[in-house]
Amino acid sequence: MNILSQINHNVAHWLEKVDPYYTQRIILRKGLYLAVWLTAFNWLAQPDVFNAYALSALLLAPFYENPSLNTYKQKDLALVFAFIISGIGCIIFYLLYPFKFTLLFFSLAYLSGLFFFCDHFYPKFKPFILQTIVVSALNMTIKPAASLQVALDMFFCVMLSLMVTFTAYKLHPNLYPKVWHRAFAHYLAAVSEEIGHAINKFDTHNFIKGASHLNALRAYRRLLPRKLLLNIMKTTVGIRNVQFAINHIYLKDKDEQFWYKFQKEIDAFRLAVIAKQEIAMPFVDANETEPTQAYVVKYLCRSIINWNKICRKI
Amino acid sequence: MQKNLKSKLNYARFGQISFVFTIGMAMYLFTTIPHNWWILLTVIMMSAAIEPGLIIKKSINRGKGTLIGILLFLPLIYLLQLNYRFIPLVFILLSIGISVPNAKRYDISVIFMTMMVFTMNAYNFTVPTQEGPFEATLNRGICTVIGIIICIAGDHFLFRRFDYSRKLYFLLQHELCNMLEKKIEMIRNAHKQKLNRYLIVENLRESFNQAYTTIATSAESIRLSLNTNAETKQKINDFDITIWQLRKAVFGLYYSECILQHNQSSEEHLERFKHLIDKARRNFISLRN
Repeated sequence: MNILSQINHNVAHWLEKVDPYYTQRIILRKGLYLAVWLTAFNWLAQPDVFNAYALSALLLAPFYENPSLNTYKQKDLALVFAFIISGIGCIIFYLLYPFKFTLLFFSLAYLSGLFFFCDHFYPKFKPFILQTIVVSALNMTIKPAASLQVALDMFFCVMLSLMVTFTAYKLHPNLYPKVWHRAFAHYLAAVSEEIGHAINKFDTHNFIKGASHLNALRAYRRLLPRKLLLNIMKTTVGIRNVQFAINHIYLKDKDEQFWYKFQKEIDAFRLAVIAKQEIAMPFVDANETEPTQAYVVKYLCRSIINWNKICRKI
Repeated sequence: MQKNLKSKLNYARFGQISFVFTIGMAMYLFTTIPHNWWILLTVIMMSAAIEPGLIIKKSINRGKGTLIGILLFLPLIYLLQLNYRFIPLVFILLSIGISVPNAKRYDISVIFMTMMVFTMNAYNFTVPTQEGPFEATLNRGICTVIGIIICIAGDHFLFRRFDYSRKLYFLLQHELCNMLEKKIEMIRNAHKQKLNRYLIVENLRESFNQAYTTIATSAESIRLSLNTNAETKQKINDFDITIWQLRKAVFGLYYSECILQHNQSSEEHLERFKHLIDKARRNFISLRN
């Protein structure tokens, strides 16, 4: 039993290390969920060109979870665009495959056209171009070669795959509050560390970890459910304002006792966030003559009030 | 100059992708190497979404992943023979496995990718092939090595001479300093122009996160490059420290100017900013080694 719990603990620890924001686990869940949909539709529709149906979804559906696409509109657009250009690419690569020299020059022209089109009109799609070409090239050797019937079948199989993927993702429950929850807990830890550095007037370190946690918070904030959105935003903004204020006092002489107490309050808040529990208002006496102290306490309180409203719903 | 450099870098990036893609495609279409599809796949997957300087790191991950994938697949071949209904199930799970690891663990993705392509062959062929598992493994391994050589050659011939990473980093240094100066202007004029405080913060966060993340990746690429000398590395480290101090100075100025509205503090932050930006500009890397 002891060994089992030890293994369990080690696995949990490793997961937290490699997937601190829960994003990869969401991809796993969504991948399994999509696979069930694709299998069901494979039984029902029995697509003629299985590779075009299955591989396009397997290679293109992951775009939907890419953090660079941070609104649902952007995600939908990228998904539809990727499937359509892959479908068109499938037809052309397949029809030209018997003419090998033509295909070589055509594929280069196709890559150039796509690259410069995306460069001018759709820069966010540039990193995904080559993956769509893989989908197009994967189906080009299908037999019989260069049949218009097969080419059209292939295109409709890709479109069927798009339809299934799109519907499946639209019906999937929203798991992004979990990402916010983890990124916020990490961000609180980074802010607490920042207070420690500010007390010691140590300013040659970088805030790259904190910035990456904040990046994660920002990348997923437009994907959060509407009923939680307002409170989540207020909770985050409160701590963000605290972090801004710390930058102001970094190299100044400060009331160390107050800042140590304040750091402890932030740590207590972080523990409550990790445990998804309510927390009492902080007992820190701000010095009335020092506006920064009053400011940080005010925003910490505001953040805590909003957290207490949503802690059980995350 | 910056605009010119930017478009040059864009063309260079396109040059690299199209060069390796054409060679990979030609290898696939015109050679009789067994499993030559794997060469094209290696080339395309390695060139996708990657900064040229980091290609060595990606090649190592790719080679490592392929080798482990092949080793793990060998027992799987015999296990799958126990019940062929396992094949589609394993195939689906492996293909999901490709997208689960994050971008830093590309090697794990490659393990799943290798195993998936092998399983795909098991699923597609209705007649047994003459090639035994060890022969197939060896052929695939050779194709991977050829794909990696094409990518590294593309990187070496086009980018070592063009010095892509260095030029990109230099461009980013310029852009970052210009952006910081613009933000200082914006904060200083916030009162006159009656800008909304919330929108200023949004603007600061948006620009800072983007610029700082990009320059950190670029710096990593130069540090890994074998022909970067010690002086340049030192300059990059100094620049890195200074930009984080600058970030604090800008945020501090925002707080004292827009929240506290305290002139004396604002002047202090501004002085510090001017001192630091001079220091940052002194630490720009030179375009040549």
